[in-house]
Amino acid sequence: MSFEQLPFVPPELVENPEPRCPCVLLLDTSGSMNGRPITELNSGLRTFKQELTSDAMAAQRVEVAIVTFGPVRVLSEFQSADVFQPPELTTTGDTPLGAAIMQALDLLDQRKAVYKAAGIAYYRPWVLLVTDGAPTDAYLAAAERVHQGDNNERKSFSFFAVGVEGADMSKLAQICSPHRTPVKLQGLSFREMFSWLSNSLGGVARSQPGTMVALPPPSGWSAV
Amino acid sequence: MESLKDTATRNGHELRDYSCTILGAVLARTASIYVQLGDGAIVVATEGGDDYAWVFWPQNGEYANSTFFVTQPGVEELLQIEAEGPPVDEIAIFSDGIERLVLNMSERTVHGPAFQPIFSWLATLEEDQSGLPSPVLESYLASKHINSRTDDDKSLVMATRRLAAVPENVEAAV
Repeated sequence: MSFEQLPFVPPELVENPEPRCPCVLLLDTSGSMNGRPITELNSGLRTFKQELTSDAMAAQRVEVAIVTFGPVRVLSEFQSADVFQPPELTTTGDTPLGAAIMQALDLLDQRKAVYKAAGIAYYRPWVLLVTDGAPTDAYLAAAERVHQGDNNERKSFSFFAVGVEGADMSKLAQICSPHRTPVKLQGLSFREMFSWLSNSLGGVARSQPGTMVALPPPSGWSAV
Repeated sequence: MESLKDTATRNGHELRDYSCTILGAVLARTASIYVQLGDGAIVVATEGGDDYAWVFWPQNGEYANSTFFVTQPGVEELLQIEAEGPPVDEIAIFSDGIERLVLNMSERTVHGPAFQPIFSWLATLEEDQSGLPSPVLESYLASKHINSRTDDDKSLVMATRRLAAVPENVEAAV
């Protein structure tokens, strides 16, 4: 066991033993997002926080982490929605999408291990990728890892991708699992997208064994 | 499993129509038998009668919203049976929506104070109220306080064969 893996249960998991629904936001902060896109994305993050915390159960059960790229950075580690503070994103760098996906999935694996050690039950985790570009690094290994984890046999996580105007939708489709087509964002309707995400996560966080979680349709923010 | 399939076929149903978890108990004066498959739990009073313990811990899959059902393959290995339990005077059987209110999920213990007052109240009821849904308990389980902490599926069956403690000076008072 390395120094980073201390055998202690993080205090937030002792204080709040509710089952958790972890969600990683994998957000493109490359140069091309500069201007209105990043402003709207920041505003969407604030909506996300508001909507999650208006649902008492989601506020305690949904945990949010943020990974931005590039360069790949863990901007905020997993925090329950009531504690999570939406950051003010700024733009820099290129689009190392492959490395960013790897980082997000590593974060999820680590968090699951922490839940297990702490005896905290959890729901199938979510990753939501938002990008307006195309990968500037090798991404096939990352795509393979997404396919391996997001399918009806393994169900390690659910991986969703959203393309902002200018995104390479065919590469996103290559990355996503075949049964989860990437969604094209309508204009810059990030607030509507995060509102959908909050509703969907809230639905997962109160779901019971044996029932399928029906996700609301991505209407109001996806371009057809 | 095969007989479940046969029953389904005979009644013109699909096997998945029979998909459910199982919690069961047979209590005699001298011994107790329990069965469980899936989530929810059975809690009984411990021998001294002053605390509570679970019989089987709720069975979940990897995720909090996944469990096991009688209709799934390999169910024979998952079914838990306790055939030689000691006799008990108090028992509570409940579905997964109740789990978090009465079990300490990280310590894997029963939260005794959650049951104790309800059992005490139960022991004071007249026998003709036995077997009927309790409006008091129903409104308690439907309260906002409870609903902010749990999902909707809250089935709870409780039974006692203890009698309410009669105050010692009752005769003198009469």
